[in-house]
Amino acid sequence: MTSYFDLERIAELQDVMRAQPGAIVASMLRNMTAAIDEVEAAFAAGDLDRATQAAHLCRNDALMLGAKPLLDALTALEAATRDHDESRAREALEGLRAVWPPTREQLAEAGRAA
Amino acid sequence: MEPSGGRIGPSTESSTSGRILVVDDHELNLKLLECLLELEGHEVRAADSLAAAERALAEEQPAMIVLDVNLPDGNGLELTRKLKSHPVTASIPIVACTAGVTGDDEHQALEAGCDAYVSKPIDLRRFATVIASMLG
Repeated sequence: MTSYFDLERIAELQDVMRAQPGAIVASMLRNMTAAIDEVEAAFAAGDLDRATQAAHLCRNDALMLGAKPLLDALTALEAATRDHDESRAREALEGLRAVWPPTREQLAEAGRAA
Repeated sequence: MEPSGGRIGPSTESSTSGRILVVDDHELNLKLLECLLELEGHEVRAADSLAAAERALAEEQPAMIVLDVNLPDGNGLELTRKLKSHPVTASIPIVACTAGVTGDDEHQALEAGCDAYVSKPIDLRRFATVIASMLG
């Protein structure tokens, strides 16, 4: 387990899904990058419902990966946007911005090593 | 099945299948659920939205539904309520599968009429046990 996600979980998923090594990580990286870009775009547009959907999709990936820091940030964000609490949502977005880049980098590294 | 206001559940012409209908808008979750069920020997029909699930239900009555609650085009629990209130579909076992944030998701799912609840991330072993018990 890295500090940002659970490598054993990825191995388990690869086994069940009969996926090529690295394929699941690559797919999750694509999905999460798109979802977080969508969160940012939704905030820029002031659309908290759209942010909720994007955060929720990304939470699915974070849960699958056992990516605890990212999951915590997304959970806080989704809870705040569902409540339409913009102040708390913006605070949670800062948390997401802090944790996503190192998670993404470690995932990319894991993908290269697979 | 029509999305709203119309007929719910399979028509009298639609067939009953042994397949499990899996509904999830998250591509990898959908794939994972399909793989898990196929490993257990089940046939699966996948739907990535409530609308796709409704189309599938109009064509055939599945042996079971594994249903994500939070879908982009609606709430899976609303579909559960409709199906459970209709005599043709009330007996279809429904397993809610969610990644909720409220901590109250299991209660809400069971209250809506779901027969079982599985939280995400999916515990691979527990999931197989739940499915087997529902079909038993």
